[in-house]
Amino acid sequence: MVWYVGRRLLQMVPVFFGATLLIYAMVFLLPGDPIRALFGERPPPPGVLEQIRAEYNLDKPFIVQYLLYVKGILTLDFGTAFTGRPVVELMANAFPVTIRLALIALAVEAVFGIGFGLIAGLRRGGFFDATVLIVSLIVIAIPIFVIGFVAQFVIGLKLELLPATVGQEESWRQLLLPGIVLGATSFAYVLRLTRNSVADNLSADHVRTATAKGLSRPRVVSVHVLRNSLIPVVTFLGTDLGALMAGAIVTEGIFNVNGVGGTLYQAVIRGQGTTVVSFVTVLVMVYLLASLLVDLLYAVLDPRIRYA
Amino acid sequence: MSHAVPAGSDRPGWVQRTDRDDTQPLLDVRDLHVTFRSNGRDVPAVQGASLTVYPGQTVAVVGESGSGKSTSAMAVMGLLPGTGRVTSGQILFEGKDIARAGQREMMALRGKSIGLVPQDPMSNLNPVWTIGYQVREALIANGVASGAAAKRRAAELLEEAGLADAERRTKQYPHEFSGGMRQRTLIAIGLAARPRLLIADEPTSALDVTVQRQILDHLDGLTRELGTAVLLITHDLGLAAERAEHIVVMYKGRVAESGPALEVLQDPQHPYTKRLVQAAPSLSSRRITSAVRSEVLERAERAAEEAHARVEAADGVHAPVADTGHDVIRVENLTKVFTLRGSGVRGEQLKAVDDVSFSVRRGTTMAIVGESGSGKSTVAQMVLNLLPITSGRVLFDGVDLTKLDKRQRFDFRRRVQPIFQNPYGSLDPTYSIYRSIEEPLRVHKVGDAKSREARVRDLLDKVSLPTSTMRRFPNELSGGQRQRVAIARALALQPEVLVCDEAVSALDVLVQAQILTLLNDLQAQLGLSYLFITHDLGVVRQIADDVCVMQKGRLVEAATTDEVFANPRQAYTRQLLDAIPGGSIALGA
Repeated sequence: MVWYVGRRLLQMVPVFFGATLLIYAMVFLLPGDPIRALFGERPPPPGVLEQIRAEYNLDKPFIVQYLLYVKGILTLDFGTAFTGRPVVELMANAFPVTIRLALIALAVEAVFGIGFGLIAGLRRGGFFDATVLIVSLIVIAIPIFVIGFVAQFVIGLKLELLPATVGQEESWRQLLLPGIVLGATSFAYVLRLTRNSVADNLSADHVRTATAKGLSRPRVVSVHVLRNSLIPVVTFLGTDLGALMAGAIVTEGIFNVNGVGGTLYQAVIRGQGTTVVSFVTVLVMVYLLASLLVDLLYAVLDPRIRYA
Repeated sequence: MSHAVPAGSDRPGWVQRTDRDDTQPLLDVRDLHVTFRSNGRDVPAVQGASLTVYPGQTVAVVGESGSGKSTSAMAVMGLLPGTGRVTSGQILFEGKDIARAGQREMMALRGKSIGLVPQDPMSNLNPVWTIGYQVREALIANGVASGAAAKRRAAELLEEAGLADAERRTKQYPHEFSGGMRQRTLIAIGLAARPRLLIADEPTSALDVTVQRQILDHLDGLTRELGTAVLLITHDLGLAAERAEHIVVMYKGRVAESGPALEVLQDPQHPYTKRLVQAAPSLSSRRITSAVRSEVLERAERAAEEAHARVEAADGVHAPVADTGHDVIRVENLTKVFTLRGSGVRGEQLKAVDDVSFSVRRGTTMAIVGESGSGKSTVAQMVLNLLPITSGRVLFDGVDLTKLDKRQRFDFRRRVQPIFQNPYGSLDPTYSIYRSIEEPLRVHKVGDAKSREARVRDLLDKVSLPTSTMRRFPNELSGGQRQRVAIARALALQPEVLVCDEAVSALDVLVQAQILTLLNDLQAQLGLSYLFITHDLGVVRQIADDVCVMQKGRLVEAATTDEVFANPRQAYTRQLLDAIPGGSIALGA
């Protein structure tokens, strides 16, 4: 087990270098000159351009730039953005709020997705099942920005149930609505996955055997149906965590959240290489860790899986 | 048969009880009707079944799949699957009608008064909980024991069910158990709360014969000791006759015949029972013959010559032929070693087939018998040239299979065809029957579209299927019909050898008998040679001329079928023969 985790962590090293190199190259190849763009319409004073280029190592060949960058990361120096703020500071601002947002979304998915999915699966073919299936299909079909704006308008502005936007303090209450919107699509997937998984497991031979033992229905469902059904759901939730972190750009935009998505978007628009590469690298790492967590959790749920 | 012993003498306490009117029945099913709802229509599954089980008695319900035997048993437990429901009739358990009992009432009965030993040990234990937990659960739910006492009792129950080292085993998971061990666990669960009635639904049909015998013996002993009545559901008439005092034969949802076990077996009244008794492979003692053997052999030689002529015409060269005489297939020192994945850099080595030699004479049937894991299927795959050989060689018609070039290998495929066990899996569900049978012809570029169609018609005729079958799809056919299609497909290229890997194991006895007769007739007509892989010695008796017995990858005995049955030389062979259910029962007719 320890050996397995060690090996998985070790595997992250090449992924890290591959990902950073690839992203670095892509940013490098972006059209336009970010330094010149800093000055807008007016031509920069002579010499200044070169000075800035030298400061940010932009005058050196690509591979040297990359190696200097990696050297920086290894000493936890993610470099400085063009605004003069260190990238680490940007991350410290953006990540906590996005992590909170992702956790809210994940909680919504897990609690409501699994809950409704379980009920629908147990009453397959019934009214609840049909309703929930149609609603989940609608949620999947509607683009997230539509859901976002509608929720903001109806719940936030008309009914005033929850704050419509996120302010400076970024409280949990303010993050609740964007969190729900962010988790909406995945909630629908989790619901359907749970529903099908429960319905399948319900007709499994071992469930019938459990009933034949004289167990009560609630016990059969919780002990023999639910745990078995959760195996594929947990896999989905784990991989979704990574997607929630990186994919919140639209939702963050609607609700005015200064998170990872927004910062990354701005950096891409402005061609801020160091910021983009740093953020994406961290996201890749989060994704890898999340999938490792899923695999470990998988082994806990299913004793047939053993890592050696 | 030399191993036959007087009927029932191996069962201590065997009492033939026909008249039990003095005691109140434990279970009395009266005129039971069960229907399933499918596409808005009610489909009857059981139509007026009646049966009675007295305390401590073992009653067997026999029938083929779809006869309603399992459905009747599940109705007794209130565990009808899906849309199934009891529409009329009574199920009296200890005098009380439970046919329409509520969930709460049934919950109280299940486990405590009526236990279940289900059919398939592989799927009936929850893979994510330990063995101990699953036994304990039954104890706690029925208020037998709790806490540490339940733990102790669970280990005792497993011990009692014949599981060695039970205490340590309670901490293991189902996937760490063999099929036999899992079935013992299920027996322990079924008997955990000491029910008065145990429903055993095909408790051993998924297990090897020798394991089957051990488990049934054990179950027999346990239930007799505890005075538990057993309702045994089985498709095997021999097994039923051996284990039960009373037999109920079900056919198409109705009870065809019922009575004391030996009486039903030795003097069947209903035509269906008569057919069943005749077809039961475990009871039959004769090879099916439909032609004079010497004529078959002659025809086989002629077929071989024709095949040679065809190959030479196609190749223009004569393949190097070692003289193998009458042997169409000769296997010499065949060995297969698998490298297992996992621990260690080089992996563990598994010798699946260890130095096996035999030969198949032209126009005859060679059977390879063995339990699962004996390597018999691996041999078949190597003979079919589907699996690389580790060492040794397989000669087909005198030519070493490993020395074939691409073209010769293609030709070899034409002359040796397989039939596999599962007719549900070996036909492409998206292909029409016509396309399935025509495909090998097309691949080998035989004839044009018109002549191919004529050939398919002819083949369907040979396997006794109507021509209209052509336009249908596998899911519209029964298991037996599908296996006929698989045979027709195998015959399409006029092969000389058919390798049948458990070709009749998935079929009901009557269908099995039909297919065996068909294979036998085809052998006589076309001079085919068969390599027949099976775990069922009853089948061997019906179809094979020679037998190889395999155990753990080695060939332990090889002789003619008559010799093996009359005079088994190896202890293992004798064990296999003794394990045939009902083998010791003499038939009246």
